[in-house]
Amino acid sequence: MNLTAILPEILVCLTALAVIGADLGTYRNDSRRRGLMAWIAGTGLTVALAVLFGWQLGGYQAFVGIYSSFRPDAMSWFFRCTLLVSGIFTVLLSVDYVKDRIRHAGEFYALLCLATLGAMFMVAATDMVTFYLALELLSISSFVLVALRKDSPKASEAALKYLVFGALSSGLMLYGLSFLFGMSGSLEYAQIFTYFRQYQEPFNLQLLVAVLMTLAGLGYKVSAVPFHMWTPDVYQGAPMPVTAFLSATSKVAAFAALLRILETLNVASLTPLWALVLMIMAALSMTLGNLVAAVQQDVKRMFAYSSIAHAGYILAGMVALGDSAAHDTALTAICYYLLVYVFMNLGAFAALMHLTRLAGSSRIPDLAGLATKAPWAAFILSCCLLSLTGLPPFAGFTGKFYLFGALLSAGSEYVWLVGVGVLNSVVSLYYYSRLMRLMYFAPTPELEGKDLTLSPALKLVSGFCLAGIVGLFLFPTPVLTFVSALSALL
Amino acid sequence: MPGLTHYLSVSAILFFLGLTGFLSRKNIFIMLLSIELMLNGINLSFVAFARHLNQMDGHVFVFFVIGVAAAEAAISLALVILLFKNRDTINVDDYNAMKG
Repeated sequence: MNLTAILPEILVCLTALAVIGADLGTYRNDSRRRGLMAWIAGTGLTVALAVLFGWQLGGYQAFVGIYSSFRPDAMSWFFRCTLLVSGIFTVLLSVDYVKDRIRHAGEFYALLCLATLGAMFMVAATDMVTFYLALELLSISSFVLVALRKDSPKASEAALKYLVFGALSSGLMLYGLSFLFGMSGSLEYAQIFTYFRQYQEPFNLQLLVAVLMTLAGLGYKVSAVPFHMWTPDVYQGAPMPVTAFLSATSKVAAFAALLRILETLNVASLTPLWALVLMIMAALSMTLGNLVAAVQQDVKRMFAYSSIAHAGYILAGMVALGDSAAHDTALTAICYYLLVYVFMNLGAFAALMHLTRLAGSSRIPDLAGLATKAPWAAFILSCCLLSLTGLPPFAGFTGKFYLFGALLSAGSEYVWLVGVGVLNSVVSLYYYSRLMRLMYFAPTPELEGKDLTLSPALKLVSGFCLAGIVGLFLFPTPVLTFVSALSALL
Repeated sequence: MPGLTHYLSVSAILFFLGLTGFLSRKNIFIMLLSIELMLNGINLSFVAFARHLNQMDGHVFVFFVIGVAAAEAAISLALVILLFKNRDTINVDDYNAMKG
């Protein structure tokens, strides 16, 4: 056993401990202390990211995994980097918010690091125990993060809803996993895959329960319809940086874990079943997400429905995994889209943090006319919204193009799903552009006594995100070649 | 002598009782208890399979599930107290501060 493979995770864990230690040891409750916590968390996560990049540049990839439970392959490298980037950006988003509104800065950053740690293990887990523990580390840390503003009734209500539905979904998933274990006799993905590849018996109830329950549980985690009902409330009630974190890190981790499980179940006897289930969930998520987002009055709620819709697009891409000809392109498209999704969503939230602070609320009508007061934030938000719609010159376009392209190459029976996806992109343009129109063309409000300057941390995040979505549009090749090499490794 | 099927039947009954309780009751404590019932059904199913297959893995997994369930219970009770302070009710139908 070699622990080098999890060096980045060890660093993230040490960072969390360092934050807690610093919280105990330093000056009490002033803004310097809160700044210090953010520095420690940000630096620790950056060092972990640097280690991962160092390995890649040094061509130092061939790690032995830890037994069969942690596989440090190229796919986990890619997702661990994505998650660390998302974690670092979230720390930057939180700096000012925590200074102003959260008393427990140490707990906030420590939990953020622990949630990132759980997510990083989750994307590399290749057995049920590791996967389940990583998932719960991510979930339990997130529950507390959502509830951390104790004075806010909305936050505690959101946290309780999140917890109750999180526990329910874990239960559903575990019930399914217990049947997978019972049939194959192993908790390890590799052995489950081998077992089901040779599976000869006719389709039976056990198999149906195993696959449906596992997918239902994971459907909650990625907030796909009909398992989405917690998403709007949690996104709305959570503190803004936590909402951003949930929409990026939790989403990426859940999709990466789903990807691993689908690869395990990608065998002739099971693929038609899960492809059908995913197809239905994808079509429902896209349609319901976009239609309901269009009538929202709260911008966080609107983003919750938009994230449901995006779960639909990604699930549509996952349907194509079942087709052996389209498998590799689909995998490439999903990985690329998840990376782009992190950039466009966190960029949008960076801008929204500034705009909602100026407006003093997160209601959409209150954001009217803010473009003249906060030109940079309005510009970033518009770019991210256009990217979320899937319009060039932003990477959201490239991502959707590859997702739907993979689906088309999977066979003509999926053309209708692509049609639904494209129609939904048009619907999403309606409500995204409504927000843009309101910011740019409504009369400018009076903002007396508000500090109009955009904080350096938010400037940094939004700049990086803009560079990310434009850069990935202009030069998608390096990322695409890297992720297309993944399929060989799975 | 009870066999695998018997254990799995009991586990399914426990699981679906829990699920029904979760979906139909309005008291937050009963809902949390229902989740525990579901988890017990799952544990039974894992243990039955593990015993049937002579695989220790399943037994070990159950310990992890129990541990995580305890952690989750701790957090959920803390949240219920927090919410009760803010809202003075444990009926989930009254937790409707957010609408859209």
